[in-house]
Amino acid sequence: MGILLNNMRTTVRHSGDSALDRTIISRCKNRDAEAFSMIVDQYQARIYGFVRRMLRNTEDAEDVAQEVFIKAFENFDRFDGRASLSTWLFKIASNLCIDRARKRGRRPELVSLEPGNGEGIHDAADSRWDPQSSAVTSEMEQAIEEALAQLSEKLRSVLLLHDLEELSYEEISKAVGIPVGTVKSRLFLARNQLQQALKRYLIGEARQ
Amino acid sequence: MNREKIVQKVQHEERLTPKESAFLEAMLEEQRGQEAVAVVKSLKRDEPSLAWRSSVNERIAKSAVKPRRSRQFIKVAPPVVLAAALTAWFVLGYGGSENLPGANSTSITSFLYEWHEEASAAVILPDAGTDLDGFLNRTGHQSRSDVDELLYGGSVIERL
Repeated sequence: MGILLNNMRTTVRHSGDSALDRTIISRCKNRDAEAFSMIVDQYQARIYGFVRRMLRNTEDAEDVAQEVFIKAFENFDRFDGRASLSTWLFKIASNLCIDRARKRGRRPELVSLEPGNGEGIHDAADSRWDPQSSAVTSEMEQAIEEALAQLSEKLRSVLLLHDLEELSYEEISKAVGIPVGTVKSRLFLARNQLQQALKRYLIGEARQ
Repeated sequence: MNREKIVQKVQHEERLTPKESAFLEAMLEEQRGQEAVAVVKSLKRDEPSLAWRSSVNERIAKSAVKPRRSRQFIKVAPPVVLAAALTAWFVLGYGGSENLPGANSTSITSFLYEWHEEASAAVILPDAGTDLDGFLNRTGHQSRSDVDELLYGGSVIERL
């Protein structure tokens, strides 16, 4: 039994969620806690990371991330396999984040995209930037984390799901419950805001 | 294609024409090369703490032993209750009493008792030369039968 479980664990870790072993999913549907722990193993970092960036509060994030997995376990019989498991988990996470934000009285901020300091909102890629040769510094990451925190929740969720979690437009549409066209629009706006923030950071760095 | 106009429509989440959608796709492709996108892709994923994980395990284990009563009950209960209610209505209510003999009975017990008495009386036949009035008094047999009335226009016993 132990060997079988270890083999299954390996299968889950080394495959995408679309290839998740059917046995594990059917065991989860039968409320098998051991099988479900393999799913937690595989997704805990992604779900926790998403929730932490959405809520910007470690305590809330830990609580909500736990809630995501508990809800998933208790409602696993509702998972019909039409969406991938990751999409389903991110959908639960997204809904719980919205609920928590509402409870905390935080309303999603309105999106302001007025160009500031002469920077257009639709700049093409900065010619100074060469992803092949430039290393992403931790300061740059910090600047992006701060810029992410400034995005409205609806823009942030789409950006994180697409650019960090690599979900497709269709998967995000299902997870967040918005049309594909809206996903693209929000992604475009979110990237522009982030790019502006990073430019401000780079300009500040160049002046120093 | 008016770029500003498309951006405005995107900001207001307005529906785009197919041409505008294609233009938005092109702008998204262009953004792929931006440093901000590269930095987001490189962001680290935090692993939650071991305490967090053990708390999840504990809650899942608790949830796993809880009987899955609610949804099963909700699925099964309404048809069972409906069937029971219909049966009770049919047997005890007017729907049953109108069609069954012993319509005066208010309960199954009294109806069965009455039905049994009538059936017993029907099979006890008087011998030849028996005092008929005495027999009827002894057996409690009714002197007038609805069936006789219907078939012969009066009680057969009275004609004897």
